[in-house]
Amino acid sequence: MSKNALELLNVYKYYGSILALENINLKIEKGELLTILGPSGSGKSTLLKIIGGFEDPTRGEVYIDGELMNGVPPYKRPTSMIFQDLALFPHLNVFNNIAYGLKIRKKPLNEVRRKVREIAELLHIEALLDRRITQLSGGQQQRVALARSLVIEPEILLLDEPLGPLDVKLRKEMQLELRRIQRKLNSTWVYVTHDHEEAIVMSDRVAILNSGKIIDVGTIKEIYERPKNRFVAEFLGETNIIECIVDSVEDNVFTASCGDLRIEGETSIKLEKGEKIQVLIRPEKIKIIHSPSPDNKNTASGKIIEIIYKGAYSDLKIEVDDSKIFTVKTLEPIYHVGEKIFMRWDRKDVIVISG
Amino acid sequence: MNLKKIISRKLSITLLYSLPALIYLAVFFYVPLITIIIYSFWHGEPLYRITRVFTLENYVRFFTEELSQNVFILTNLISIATFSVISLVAYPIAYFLARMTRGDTGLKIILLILIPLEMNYLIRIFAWRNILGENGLLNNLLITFGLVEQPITILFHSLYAIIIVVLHNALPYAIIPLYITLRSIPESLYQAAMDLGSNKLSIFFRITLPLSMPGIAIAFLFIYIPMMGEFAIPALVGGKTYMLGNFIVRQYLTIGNWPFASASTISLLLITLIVMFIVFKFLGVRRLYE
Repeated sequence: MSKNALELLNVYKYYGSILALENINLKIEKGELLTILGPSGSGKSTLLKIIGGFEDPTRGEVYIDGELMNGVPPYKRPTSMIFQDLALFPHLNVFNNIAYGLKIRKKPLNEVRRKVREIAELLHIEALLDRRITQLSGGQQQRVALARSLVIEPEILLLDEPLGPLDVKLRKEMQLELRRIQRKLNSTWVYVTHDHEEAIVMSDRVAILNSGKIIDVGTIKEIYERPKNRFVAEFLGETNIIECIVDSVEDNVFTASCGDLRIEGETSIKLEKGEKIQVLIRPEKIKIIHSPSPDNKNTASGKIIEIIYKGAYSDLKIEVDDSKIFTVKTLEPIYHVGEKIFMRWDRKDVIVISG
Repeated sequence: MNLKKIISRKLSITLLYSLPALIYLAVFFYVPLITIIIYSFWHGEPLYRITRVFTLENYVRFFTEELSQNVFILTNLISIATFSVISLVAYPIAYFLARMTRGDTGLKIILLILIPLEMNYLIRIFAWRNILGENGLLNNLLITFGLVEQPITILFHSLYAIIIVVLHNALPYAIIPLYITLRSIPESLYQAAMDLGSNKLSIFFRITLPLSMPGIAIAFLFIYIPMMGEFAIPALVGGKTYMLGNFIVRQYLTIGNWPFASASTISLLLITLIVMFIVFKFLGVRRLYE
């Protein structure tokens, strides 16, 4: 059998007649952090529950470490889950929460104490062991939940949007810390989130889920720079998508007309002359220039209609001649609404989305 | 300040609204209670002979006399036995209603359980006499099917009859608090316990039972406190069983030693208050409000 930490083969899940997951195939290597990214209702929590054993797939197979897991209850699986609401036991203090799994496994008391202390030190909560759960802050509760799962050394740790309730600053800190811990322990994590920024920071690989289907899997760089379709492109952050018609194709280089614009780009996709395509240019790849470009390709001009100040940068909404709206990121907040500007982008930043 | 005026006005309105209830409580609760307290410190003899001198003898007698001690111990044993039986019956019902039913189905079933309580208390007890008695339904059935030749008497005029009748009377008072606490345990806690390696049995003893302790404590108070003062059930179906309630009624109505009866009543009140305090303090009832 395969030596993947986790393998899902043709997994389907129906709730009654409603299809929640459709033909999920996924492989995760040992020591990898895979993020499942998708909007709410895309089936990502269901997928996690199937891996954890809380739900059975209607069809398909789940392998953990090469062993078939279908029908195996959660308490016999080498997985552990961090729940959305953390599910800490309110009647136990921090120590007993963390020690829960070890006590169930009937480990000797001194081993329990040693392991709890080790994991608490790793997560910087060793001072809280005697506290009650209700006396902890949100971030501290997060750490306790993490410690409680990590202490039993699961083959796969499943995290169901664990950082949801935290404020932005704490979230960012915890993201980095989680990543640090995962690398240090070299354990396999499956991390579910709807926040693409979180996915970008956290993951080795990302699986993008929409309406129960995996749309794209790959490293975040691959997916961000070469998204498979419009949904993926838009889900991973703001983009400019332009409808074009191919004018000419020569080797990997094509030119296309998009209304008044002429776009030149590179693609490995085989294009036909006259074919309708969608072209994607990320807002941060567009440069603002002050005089018209001599070239008539990969350039545009327009009027600023809105400026959205975002602190470190600003988003400019630019109306191009024929009422197309471009979004451009700029680091210099020197522009004002109504100003006419010129834009330019490189051939290599033009992305063609098939279909 | 203006604020002060508003607050004092609010207070006076609150006072006005609560006045009827306060008057009612004062006349029908505090006056009798204080009367009983005063009586309990007077010297009394059978046949309503009362001397109005301050004495502690009634309290000393209640706590030292063998008869009252025995009755006190027996009453506690019966109350605790009854509570145990009721818990064993009520817990599975509450668990089923809380965990296995969806939406408000559980609540609807609880309403059905509450319906018999609308019936008069004494009539319910008499109904049980007709079921458990020597010529009752149960014995008739047993004889008809040839299971026994003589009517069995162990279920009537006995301790067991008390437990059966109280079980019927008090079951809803145990089911409701248990249902509420069990219902308030989030599903994810069970899943987390399962995830960490607990099977169903271990989840019950490590999660469900400890977290339902507040419900058990409330159920205990709902059953224990009325049982300490119960006199109708033992009198009607209990046979020779003689509980604290009967003891006090006898002192008031038959023997006529009001001061001693009053001292017994106040002692009983203090004891139940102490039990309540202990239960609230140590069984985590406070967690219900957190």
